[in-house]
Amino acid sequence: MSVPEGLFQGLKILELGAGAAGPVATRYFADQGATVVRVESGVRPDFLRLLHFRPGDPHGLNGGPMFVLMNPNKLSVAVNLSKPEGIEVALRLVGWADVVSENFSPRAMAKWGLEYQRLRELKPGLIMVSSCLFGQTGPQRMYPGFGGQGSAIAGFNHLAGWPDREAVGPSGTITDSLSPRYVALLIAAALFHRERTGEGQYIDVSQIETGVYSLSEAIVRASARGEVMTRRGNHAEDAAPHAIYPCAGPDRWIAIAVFSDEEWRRLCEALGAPGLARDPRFARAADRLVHEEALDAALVERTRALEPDALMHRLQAAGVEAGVVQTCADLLQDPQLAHRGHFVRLRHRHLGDLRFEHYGICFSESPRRLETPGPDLGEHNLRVLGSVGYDELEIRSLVEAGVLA
Amino acid sequence: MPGPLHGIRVVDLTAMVSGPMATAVLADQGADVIKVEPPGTGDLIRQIGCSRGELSAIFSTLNRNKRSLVLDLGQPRGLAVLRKLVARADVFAQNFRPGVAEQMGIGEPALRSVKPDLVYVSISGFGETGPYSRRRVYDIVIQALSGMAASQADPRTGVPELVRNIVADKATALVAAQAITAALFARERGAGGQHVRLAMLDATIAFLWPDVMQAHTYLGPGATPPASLAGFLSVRRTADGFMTIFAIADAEFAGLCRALDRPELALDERFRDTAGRMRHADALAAILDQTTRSRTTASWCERLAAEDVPHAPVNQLEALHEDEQVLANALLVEMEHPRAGRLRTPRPVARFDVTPATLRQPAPSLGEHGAELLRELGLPASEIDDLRAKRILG
Amino acid sequence: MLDGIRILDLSEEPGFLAGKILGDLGADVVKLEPPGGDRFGRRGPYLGEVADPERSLRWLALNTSKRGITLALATPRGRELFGRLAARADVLLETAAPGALEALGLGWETLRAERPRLVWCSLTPFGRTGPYAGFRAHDLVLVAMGGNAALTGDPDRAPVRCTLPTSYYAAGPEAAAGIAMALYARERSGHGQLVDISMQECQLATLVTAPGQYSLSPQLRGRTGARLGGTREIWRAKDGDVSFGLRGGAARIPSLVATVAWMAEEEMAPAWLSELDWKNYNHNLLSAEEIARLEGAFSAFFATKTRRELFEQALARRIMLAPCNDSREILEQPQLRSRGLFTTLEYPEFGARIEHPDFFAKSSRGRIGIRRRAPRLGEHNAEIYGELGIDADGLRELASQGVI
Repeated sequence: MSVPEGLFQGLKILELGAGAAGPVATRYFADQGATVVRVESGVRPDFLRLLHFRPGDPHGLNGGPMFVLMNPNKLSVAVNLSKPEGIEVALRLVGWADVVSENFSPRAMAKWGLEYQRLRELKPGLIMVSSCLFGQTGPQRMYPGFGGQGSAIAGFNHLAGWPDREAVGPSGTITDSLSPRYVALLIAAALFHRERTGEGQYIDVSQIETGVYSLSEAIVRASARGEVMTRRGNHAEDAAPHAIYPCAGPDRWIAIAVFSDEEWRRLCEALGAPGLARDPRFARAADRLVHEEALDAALVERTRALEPDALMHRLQAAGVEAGVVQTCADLLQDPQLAHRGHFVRLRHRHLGDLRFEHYGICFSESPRRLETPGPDLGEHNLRVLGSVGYDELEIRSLVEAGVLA
Repeated sequence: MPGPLHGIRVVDLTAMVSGPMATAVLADQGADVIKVEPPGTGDLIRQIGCSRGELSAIFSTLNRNKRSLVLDLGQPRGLAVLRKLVARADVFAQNFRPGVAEQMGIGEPALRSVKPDLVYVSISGFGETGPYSRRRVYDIVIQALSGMAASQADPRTGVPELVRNIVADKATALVAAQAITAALFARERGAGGQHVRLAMLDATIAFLWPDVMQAHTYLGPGATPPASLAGFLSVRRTADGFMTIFAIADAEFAGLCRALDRPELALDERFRDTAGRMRHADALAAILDQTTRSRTTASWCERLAAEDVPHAPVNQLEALHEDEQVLANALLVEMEHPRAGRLRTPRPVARFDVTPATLRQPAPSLGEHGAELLRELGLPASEIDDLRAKRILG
Repeated sequence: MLDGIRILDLSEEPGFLAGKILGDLGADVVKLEPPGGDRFGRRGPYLGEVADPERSLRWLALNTSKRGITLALATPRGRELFGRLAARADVLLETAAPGALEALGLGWETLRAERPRLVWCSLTPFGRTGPYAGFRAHDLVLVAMGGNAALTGDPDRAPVRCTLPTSYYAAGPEAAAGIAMALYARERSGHGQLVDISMQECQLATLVTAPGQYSLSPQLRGRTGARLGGTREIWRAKDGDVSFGLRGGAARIPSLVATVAWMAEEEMAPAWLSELDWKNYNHNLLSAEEIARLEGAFSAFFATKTRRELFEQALARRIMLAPCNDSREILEQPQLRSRGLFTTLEYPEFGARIEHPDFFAKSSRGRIGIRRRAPRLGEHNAEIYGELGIDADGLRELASQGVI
């Protein structure tokens, strides 16, 4: 029996916070049928609502493309938590929710009287997850950085780039795309635990800690042998060739990685370069590593005039690992991503047709679905508050009192 | 990830310590070192000292990462095999007495004809020419000749002493390792091969020279007399053991006075500055001796560390592997040797962050890799069997 | 949280982290290697610099909380044992090329028939089906095909990746999440399912909606090196690099104000900078000259300070600035240490002790974190095969036949 309406049909998630780290996590559940309600503030809106292509965009808080793209399938209520009536609304919503997810800085929830100890009294089986840069405890927990600072502290920036230049860090603030997966994992695991035991729990996630945990290899190598890993461009420690080579066309590149002498021979053959295969400097892996500069130069000579997509197909057919360096334009045309149904076109009332994205999991029993684009601020006040027992009159007076704002 | 010398092949005819320790450094750093040993007992050091599984501990430390081949070089076919090996090698090293390699047909000119760009290394005891050059040599001989024993003289009795480890052999080996790498580097830049020669006597005297021979460096009058190093280079007795303590810089001395609780020392004119402290090192050492017996080593270490004064407890050999800094450096590694069993050994000392030096193979049994090496040379199985039957291959 | 869940883990390196996460969460993870060991996964560098697959530091770091067995899947007896092992498992985690396990008769479709409750997680470069399903890819190709490389690095050089395989680190928690979700669903529905993860797809999350934005406004963002958008993000301090943003909207402004105040205290704030009206600051509206001027002033200031000084003041003055830490600095980071992030594992057979990052979250319900060190090759053969009724003699026989 499949569960066509989604793995998390019937699950209720209340989300507080802003940015990427928290909202990306709850999307996993929204895409599988959960009802995810974002409690937002019109007074201090999610800064992603403010990032526009052009300043003075007419759609204001409801025209931020990044916000819209990051929050499909979700409902939005606007609540002013600086008012006691706003806190009451929030508490009513907690009573409705199975899961509360928040990514404010520490103390924020407690300041509003929304800390776990209090919420648990309201809802004993509640699952609550807090995620912020440094976690809920510790001498530096109030450090005000964004994801870019988190990635730097966690060690990702130092490890990306060229040895003779500044650290660049891999694109995208890693902590914003990495730690949401951990948050999603923890919510799912906590839900599983609750199914079996009836018990809820509180989980404290530090985005930086998820980053450092991911980099366990670097930490272990430092502790065990005093090695401080650093950036080395695209080279691998024990395989060559292993780099990104220029192709024909402006800023077109292909990644090639060879892990055995047999693959090296196949690469040479596929490139029509038997001389390269016979060159004793490159015959064995260790020798290729010793002569890597000459090796890369020899390959650049052979790739620079070739069209990258055709080259990728030719090399892959020959059993050699190769992949085009894809731009956003390439990704939108990528046939494999199309096969996975990665991009979904939805119409947004202000921005028009947008290409939304799924994450990387396909469940055999529950197709992932994207139904609604990111909501307007407070778009679902009526519907959500109605479902927790407020009538229309009450809702209107709350709006007038500036509580739902 | 290969080591920095990956791809370099060394044919190693050296034995005992001065040569093998050098080629061990190269082997640790990734070179393929082929140890050619004589039939019978092989490298004599296999039999010297603490042993297990027919492998002396010294041998197992000095010959890891190497392959062993036993050849009777007195036989023409044995010599022919060696020449085939050298034809594919970058380095050839020997530490026979001068003249012996030539007699055996493996002198520098003979092997250069086989491999024109060969780096040929000769390590001798005393030098290739000169009155002692043909004499037999051991470490203790060089310690005596080089001034090492004299420099170790007991300051009270004047009786010379030997350093209680084979320091002359080991110093020579480390000089040789660097010299071989320099010759390879020069070859890489186009200089071709060359003959690299060094003598244990020379290496040891040079090793001693900077400090031990300071009073004999400036010739003629006008140099200030050196301080006796005895005070500086001595051990303090504590209530329960021994340690070293000294203060050279001003901040260190200030810290020392505080740690010893002897504030009046800070006013002593003799110890007012670095030069003074070194000049009056004996006196300072005597003062320290009065004080240090009153507390335990651990107690002194705590106080001295708090004041950032240079010091250390004297580690006993059996406790070396437990020292917290030694542990932090992950210097000592435990591994299994197939014949000798579990052993402890230092990892390669110099750490390379891109081309690491690793321990790839344990020290070989005598002739363990003979067949493998001859197969690599392209000799057919029948010939390998024949060589073995005739005891040319051991 | 996953206590009692048995996970049979066949994965190679791309799946190491996924299995570790689940094991650190309390699942009973049994890692399966071929009898000769996972040679590539157990490569150097090595503990103690001894070239021994049991000492692989990558292996030790990424395979905590797992027990280890060996099995030759290509033999008939091996396949039979696999079937029996799978029958006792709740989850199967594998990174085999699509079709490889099917060719051995051990695929999802076969096993689900006998074991409808089995959750099968397949972690592949591009997914199990589709035009690229047969493509080979390790991290470099994934970072290229997933769009991240195109945005990383300097404009005058090739696109660049991270030294460590970030595509695996993205896929790991994704796979673990998918498995946890499928287990939750199984509690309600009574049956398992296939969780098909594409590592390429996982990469796109690192682009933080860039393709969607491109579809709205087709301007290809190039590589900008130490900059993000039009402004500098990575700066040189006296002793290394720091992260500090000039962009980011209203939330960034107090930080910029505080930085300028500090610079003024040290007489390193030019007059025009001190007089700047930050209330209306919008980095999108700055001209190239204005950006250059700002960057010049901040660069000059940061270059006079060490990263430690900068971070200390960042904490005190609430400036959004962070050092680009290396692994040694991370081990000494006071906040991480105060949280107890690092734990020391003993390796008595090597005479060594190593610090590992212990957990990725803290739960009120109990400890999330490393349960045990990574397994030696076949370390738990006796225990696990013992469950199937195979005794020591049986194990010896299987070993002699090359099955384990």
